[in-house]
Amino acid sequence: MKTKALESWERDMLRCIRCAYCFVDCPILTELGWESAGARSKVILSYGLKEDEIECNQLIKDRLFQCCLCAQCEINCPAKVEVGGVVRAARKDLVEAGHYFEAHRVMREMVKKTGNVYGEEKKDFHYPKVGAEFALFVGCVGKHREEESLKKTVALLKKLGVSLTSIDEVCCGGVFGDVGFQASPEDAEHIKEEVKKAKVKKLLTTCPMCYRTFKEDPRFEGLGVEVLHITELLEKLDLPVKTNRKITYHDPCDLGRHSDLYDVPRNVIRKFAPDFQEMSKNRENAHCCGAGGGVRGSFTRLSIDMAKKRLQEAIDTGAEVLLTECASCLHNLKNARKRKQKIQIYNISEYLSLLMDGEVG
Amino acid sequence: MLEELRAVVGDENVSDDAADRYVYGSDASMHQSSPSVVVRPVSAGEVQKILRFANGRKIPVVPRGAGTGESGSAVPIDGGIVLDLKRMDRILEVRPEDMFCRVEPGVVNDELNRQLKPYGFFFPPTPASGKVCTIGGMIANNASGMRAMKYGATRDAVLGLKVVLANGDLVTMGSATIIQASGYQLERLMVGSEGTLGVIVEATLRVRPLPEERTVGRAVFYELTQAGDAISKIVATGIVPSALELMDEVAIKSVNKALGAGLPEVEALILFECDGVKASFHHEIKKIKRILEECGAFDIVISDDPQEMEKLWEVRSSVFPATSMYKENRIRATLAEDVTAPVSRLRELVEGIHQIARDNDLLIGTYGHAGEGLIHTAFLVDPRLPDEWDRTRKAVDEVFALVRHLGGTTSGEHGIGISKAPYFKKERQDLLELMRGVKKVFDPNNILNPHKLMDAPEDFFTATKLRYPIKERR
Ligand SMILES: C[C@@H](O)C(=O)O
Repeated sequence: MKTKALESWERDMLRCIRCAYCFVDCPILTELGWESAGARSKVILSYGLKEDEIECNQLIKDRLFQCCLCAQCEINCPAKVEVGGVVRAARKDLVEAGHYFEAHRVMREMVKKTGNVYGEEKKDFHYPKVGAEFALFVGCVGKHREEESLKKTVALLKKLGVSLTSIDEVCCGGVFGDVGFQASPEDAEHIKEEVKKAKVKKLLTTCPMCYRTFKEDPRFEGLGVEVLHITELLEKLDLPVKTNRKITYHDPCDLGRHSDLYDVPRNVIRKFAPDFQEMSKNRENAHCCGAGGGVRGSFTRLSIDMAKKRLQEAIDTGAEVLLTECASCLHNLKNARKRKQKIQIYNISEYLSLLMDGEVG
Repeated sequence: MLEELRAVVGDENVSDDAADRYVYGSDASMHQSSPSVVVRPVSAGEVQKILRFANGRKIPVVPRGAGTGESGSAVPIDGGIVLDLKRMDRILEVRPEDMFCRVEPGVVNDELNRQLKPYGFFFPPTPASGKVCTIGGMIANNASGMRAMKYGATRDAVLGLKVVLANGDLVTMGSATIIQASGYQLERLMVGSEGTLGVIVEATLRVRPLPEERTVGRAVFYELTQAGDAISKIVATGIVPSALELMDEVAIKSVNKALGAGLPEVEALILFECDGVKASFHHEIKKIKRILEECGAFDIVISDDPQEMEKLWEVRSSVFPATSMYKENRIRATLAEDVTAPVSRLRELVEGIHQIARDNDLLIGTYGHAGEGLIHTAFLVDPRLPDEWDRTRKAVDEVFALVRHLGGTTSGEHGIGISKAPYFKKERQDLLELMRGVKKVFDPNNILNPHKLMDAPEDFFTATKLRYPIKERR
């Protein structure tokens, strides 16, 4: 197989001394057990493809796509190998050679057709407002998979008097670079245009993946506005409610390890929930919920199995409520919950909204 | 062969897929050689059946833990079956009243220590890879680490073993007692046998009471040789710290760069730890301090803050991979790695290694469990250049010659595998036939990790494919 994207990752692949420190807490390895599923092995397999020592087959393809890009390995790696970068490059080369996952290709098609990865009818959260401070960007997963939660989030922002306008959203494209496809430059232009039209200074995101994409993806250069995650806004606002319930928090990988926002969501939670209990694995060592890196689309059961483990860790804290602030994590963790498991799962903003409405304690 | 193996462990625990064959063909060494099949047994019974089958067909079998070895001990040089033992990861019992625990080989070192902690005990060896390496691998290579100085290497903790022999028989070696004088100590023979004599399926390990208190110290030197002298002197006074580590400039700068460790960037750093009860070890610390100062140390910092201590050992554990960060385009190649000399010769060892580096125009960092006389050689090479490899191989020869000259040994704690075999054979010349005889008794068909140790190829560099892309000679 011809590789191209991997060429520029040679240095990282050589720098990997193969110490296997990245096996610690690799969520995929924990699930599958085979070394070939672990982080180190993804670097080895990528190297093998690049050096033409192995030919791509089904399992090699599977192994390289069985990665949530959660970046726990990068935290653990003293040689600072960018495993995620290597995996993304390998996927790009695989897709180029025709080894893609149908679920991912379809997502790409759907965005072309409908503007969202699910190919569902466009849903708009209409509240166009002239002279608003923030343009809100909610993302595909929230709008199409966690709509109820998202509505509460939007309601909260209104209740807190945040000056908001909506824009005509299309998928930010963040997921495509993760699964070996090209994200659409036109869609990025469209979003930039929409933001310009909205005449705002700040773009407020609820989804950590969209947040990261706007901040890091070169397609969004010249966006011209400050990008904020909703937790960053909530941290600055007065929250007129409190709860006595015991709360725990799950760090979304895109917010924590990828964006370094660890304290911000915790500061928000501490403002209204004095009884806060960390999970044993938290902050840079928080276990991934299993939704990221395209895994939920291509290896659904594996993804849910990871979510089950993460949920159990939340339950082990004795908390009544598990909070996060990511539609993907929320969705996966909720899907993993069994009927008999009592813990409630919300986004922070959703929970705050419910608190203000007196719908939860 | 696949059918028979599947019948033993189930379809989902056998793979001859190219992905697995490639991945299980390497470890943390520079060697690469694929097995024909990878099998993941979960019990001694399964291991017995697999060996019975393999012995009948004369198929090589290579046991494997986490694949963290640095000399290729787990690389299947003749192909065959790799036995991934990580599913056998149960801690079978902890008996603090008898001072031992019983574990399966796939238990991870740090996990064992987490489980021992509530009992007030620990398993002392503390290798840098402790968060991932397995007990089976530690026994097979006689691993040690930072605390071996006071508490001994893995061998000193092995009381008894259950071993599956090449013919599939399960035997029990040693005993569940702290001492035993019941004839040949075959459990000791298994230690360091690198999978060539049998497959360890259970270990009875001596555990030690966790010290009530620990204190760590750090001392800075302008000259590496001063630090070398200081270590020899500390040991010579009869003080036995629970750790006594040396880091040179390469090691220091690497962890600073990789982890923002914030260590002073000097020529050498000594880290030490004393444990027990403060009242009894505080005068040891005083003595150590005095020796360090006499040898030219400055900026001696002492701390008993548990968080600070943990951070310091975490930094130390990271040196091995972090050295790949020291310089652009130079990566750590695992070569020589754990040469060990009598502690009194430490200065000569370190000085000698740096002289060899200069003579061959190479970059070699030195650090390690200096209180045990062990120095890790961090060869930092550009692996794409053939002439760099020529100089590197010459330097490796010279390092081992130096160690022999100083009365030291080829490997202190990582084992021989493939990379160190030529030097091991020189060191053990008079024993090679005896060792081959032992091997033959245990494994007449030569199926267990064949062509390692005394039977390994004469030239490690051509023994297997290497993991590096060596460009054509210009
Ligand atoms: C290399 C490994 O043994 C260490 O001590 O860092």
